This record gives sequence, C-alpha cells and structure tokens, in this order.
Amino acid sequence: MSLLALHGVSYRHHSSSIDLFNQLDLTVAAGECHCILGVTGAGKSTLLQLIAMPNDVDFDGQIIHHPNLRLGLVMQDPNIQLIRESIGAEVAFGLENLAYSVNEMFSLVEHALAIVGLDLPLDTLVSHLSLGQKYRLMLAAQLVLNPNLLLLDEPWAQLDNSGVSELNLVLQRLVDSGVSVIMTEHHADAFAEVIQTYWLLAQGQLTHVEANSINVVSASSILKDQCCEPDLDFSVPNTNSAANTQSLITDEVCATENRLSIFPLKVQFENQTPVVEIRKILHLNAGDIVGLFGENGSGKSSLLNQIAGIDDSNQADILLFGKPAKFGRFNKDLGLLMQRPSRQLFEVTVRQELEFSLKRFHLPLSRVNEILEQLEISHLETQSPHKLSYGQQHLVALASVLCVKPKVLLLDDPFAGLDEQYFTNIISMLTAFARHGGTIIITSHRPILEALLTQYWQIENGQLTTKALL
Amino acid sequence: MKQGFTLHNALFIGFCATLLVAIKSMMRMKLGLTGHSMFLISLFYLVCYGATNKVGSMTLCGLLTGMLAMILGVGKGGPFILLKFALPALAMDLVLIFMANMFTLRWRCILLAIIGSIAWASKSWIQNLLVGMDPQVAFIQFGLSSVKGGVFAIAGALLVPVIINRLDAHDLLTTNKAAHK
Repeated sequence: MSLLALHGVSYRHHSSSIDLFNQLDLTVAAGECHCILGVTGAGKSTLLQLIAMPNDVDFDGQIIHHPNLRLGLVMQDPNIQLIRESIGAEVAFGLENLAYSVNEMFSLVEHALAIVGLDLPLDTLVSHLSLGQKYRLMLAAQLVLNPNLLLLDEPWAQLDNSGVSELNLVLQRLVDSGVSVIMTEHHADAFAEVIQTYWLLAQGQLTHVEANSINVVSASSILKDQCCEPDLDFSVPNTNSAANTQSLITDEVCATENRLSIFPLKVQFENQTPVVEIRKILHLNAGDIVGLFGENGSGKSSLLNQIAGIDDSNQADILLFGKPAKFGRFNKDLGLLMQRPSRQLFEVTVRQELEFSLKRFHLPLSRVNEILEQLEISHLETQSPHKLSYGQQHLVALASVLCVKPKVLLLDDPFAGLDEQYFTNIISMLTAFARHGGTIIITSHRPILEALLTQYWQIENGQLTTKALL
Repeated sequence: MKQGFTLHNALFIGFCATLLVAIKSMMRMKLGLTGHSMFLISLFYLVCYGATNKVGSMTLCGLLTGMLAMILGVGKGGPFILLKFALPALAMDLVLIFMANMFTLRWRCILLAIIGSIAWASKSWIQNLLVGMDPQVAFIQFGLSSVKGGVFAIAGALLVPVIINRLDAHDLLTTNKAAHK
C-alpha cells in the first residue's frame, strides 16, 4: 500500500529565481524507512514540510496522501511545534482534539513519553527542558497519535547518543509494525540499521543512492585532517597547560591572560534540585578551547547562560575578565552563539545582520565580506536569515558573532544541522580564532573535536568534572 | 493551493482590526487636524492587503474595525462609525479589482490610499447634505477633507512596503508573490 506519492513536484520560493525542487518523484509504502541526504540548505526540511502540508504551499506536480494516512512530523527546531506549558499537556494535545477521555489519555501519554526516554513528571514545564529533551517530547507528541508515516528532520543533531540509540529501537519497532519513516540526515550512519532506502537531494533533484556509496564523513575524520596542517600541533594536547596554550596563540596575546574563572557553584531553576554542580575552581586563559559535553538536559546551555550573564543567579561565582558575569557588560569581548540561532537573528538580510554588530562597535564593514568568504556563505548575503535552513542560520549567527572578533566565544551546539563542508570551515575558523588568543567554550551532546581541545568538561549525574586529555 | 482566505489570513486581518481600534481608543490625541485618522486606517488596511494579497481583505478589516468600534463606543457617530471605517475599505477594494497587477506595491498603496481618503470624505459630504448644507459649500468641504485625509493616508501608505518587506523577511507571509512586485 502506497501511503505517499510525489509525482513531478517542483517548487520555487517566491523570493528566489531558482527551483528548489525540480520534478521530484517519491513513493513511500507501508513499513518503509527512507533517508534523504543533502548538503546544508539543499531543501531537506522544506521537502518534509511540503509533504506534511501540501495545501499550504504553492507547488507544481502532485502530492498524493493515502486516505488512511496519519502523518507525524518532528521538525529540526521542536520549539516551533510546542504549544503547551507542561509536557503532559503537550503530549495530550492531539488526544484532546480527538476527544479521548482523561483516563485513556494518562496511560497513552505516559507510554509515549516512556518510548522516547523522557522520564519526567507530567507537570514538568516545557520551558525547563533542553532542546534535545524538547525534540524527544515532540516525538512523543507525534507517536501518541499512532502515525503510520513519521517525518523526522535531522534527529541526530538534537539527540545525544542514548537518544539516538533509543530512537533506533523505536524506529525499528515502528517499521516492523508497518509504520513508514522519512528522515533527513547528515549523519545517516547513526540510523543505518533501520534505513532501507537512501535519497540524495542535490540541485533540486532527488536521486536514489546505494547505501554503500554514501560517503559519511564523521567529525573525528574531519578533525584528523585539520590536525595534519603543518603549522598546528595537536598531537599531545595537555589539559589547561600554559605551554600547550602558548603553542596555539600568537605572540601578541599573553597565553596566561585569565579570561574566565568559575568558582564552586550550583546551576538550578527556582525551587528545584540543582541541574549542575561545580565543585572545584575552573580557569580559562587566552587560547583555551573547552569542550563542554553532556547528555540532553544535563545543563550545558544553562551553564553557558550563567557564564554569559543571561542568568545572573550565580553572578558572584563567575568572573569574566575579572568581573562578575553580567549580560551586556562585556560588549564585543564576549560572543554567544545560542543553540537556536533564530533567537539572535533579526535583520532583513544576512549582510545587514553582520553589519549590525560592526556598526554598533564602530568596526570596519569590510569584515562582512571576509567572514562570508571564509565560511563560504557569500551566496546567502542578500537572503533573509529567517528563511534559511537551521544549519545555514547557525552559520550566519556564528558569522555575526565572530565578525566583531570577541575575546571569549561561547558556542552552544554550533554544529547542529551542518554538513561536513561547513563543519570543516567552522573548525578552521575556530582554530584560527584560538591561535589569535580567543577563548572558546563549545557544548555538544557527544564528545567531538577532542584533539583540538585544551580542556574537557563533562557533565555527568549533575556533576561537572574535568578530564585529562590524552 | 487554496484561493480563499486561510485561517492565517483571517487571524491577521482580525489582529489588524483589533490593533487599529485599540490604538485609536488609547491615543485620544486631539490634534485638531482633519483627516489624521486616515493615517492609521490606510496603514492597517493596506498592510492587510499586502500581507494577504487578496481582494476583500481591506473590506473585511474595515467591517471588523467598524463593528468593534461601534460595540466598544470608540469615536463619535454611533452606527455611522461603521460607515466611516467600512466605506474607505470598500472603495479601496473595488478599485483594487481593476489594478491588482498594475504598478509596484508602493504606487498601488499610494493610489489606494487616495481612493480611501476620497471615500472617507464622502461620508461627511453625505452627512452635510443630509443636514441641509448648501451643496456648493458641502462640495468644497468634501474637497478639503479629501486633500487633508489624503496627505495622512499617503503617509500611512508609504510605510506599508517597509512593513511588508520586514514581515516577508521574517517568513511570516506564506503566499505573497504579486504583492512584492
């Protein structure tokens, strides 16, 4: 039984002169799992939205939904789909609309949350969840309605390793029971066990590719290439060692210049148990690159917000440039890339977005072209940052933060939604940034860039621990 | 693709009508300048048109605004307040039928604003004639009101392309191909 069929689907965004899709054909039968690959900005998310909501978009061709199709969609940024205050209400929303009784709802909601591994009380506020937990929540909100076609937009980027394992099991079970899945991914290898058919979306065409012909480049392999550059030596990284740091930075910046000190503290929401506890004093100097790792909901973003001064509940225990962390105090010396880049984009074009900070700090506007070229996003210059893909928004937000050349850079999961090419570009830029004395903290659900780091912070069981690097 | 008003369109039109009445009721400025109300009227009606790109959107906004104003007792005139808001919108929509694909958005807005101000002034003209004013004097009054209202209406219309461009840049407009020309 064919649940979904696309026949000759062509689509062009009204502000573009190029077809995003050109004569796409795709048929999905019950129990099939398809994966759509493609570079950042190829139109993967748009294709999923087009499949889910064909009546909302002007397109040519045909999208045929089977009369019995029950479709579930989890978008790359789950915040767009979340509407209720508590997680129980969020999952129950669909059931309420289908007039389920309250008694029936409880067990169904709890079961759906258990499937996705979100073991939290039903009255937990959605605003207290991390982005990865929100992704799981939205997945539960879709699964509770028993969809027979599930559309997943880049789940690897938002989920930690245990989340990916759990999702693999869930997907395998769903596919075995006849549910179809279409997912878009940059890291298809993570779901290789369940994916049956691979498609490549490139230059508006959807072409079938064999599983063994997919060249998946992992973060570690990219990093290996980076480390082979002759002027860099990451062969023996040494945790927080001044000697090691000195090798990274230029003469003009003092390697021992203290940028950030964190004294023992607890990160917690009001009247709740601490999310993260730091028991020892942490110092960061010029040229340090720190990896802050932990599972979804471990408190990485919350800690970063405290360092940036957005949350000032531990203001006295965090010293940035020798002063208590306070939002707005450090002007261009502090750069923050939020996990949801759309939160810090507001201008009409990409160029204006980058020029905003430069004008504010009276810096030369020529830096816009430099950074656009370095990140290879010059072609986006005149486009609206709000219409870009999630990965492209990450690039633009990062460019707008980097162009003012801050001294400390806080990056909250900066690689989500990026293909290997842009991943490499960003690593090159960050390496150069650290060599010129910049201090970087990068958060991620899973350990990455280990050879590049000078410090490794891990949040586990509510404790932040530092690890020695090999 | 649906051709009628979508829920998205309807909510936006309702929002514009509510905001227009709210601003009018909160900002009770006694400027003593005839026609200054045409600034907000033209701005909100044309934003409705620019955002939905549908003939009828301004009439819908005008009727909603008039009914809201009448129910909430905003302004003077009782039931005539409905006419005050609906008449310019109706006139603008009628003219739009003939010029939907002509000119750029900016010039379309300016022309529609002028039409709206003439329709707005005609309400006073009819009122003046009904109370027995000399037709010649009433006509001069109508002309003056049209010009004064037109100035404010054009000022409001000039802001519309800027607002529409910003809404479009934030991906808040779903189908707006013609409106952006």
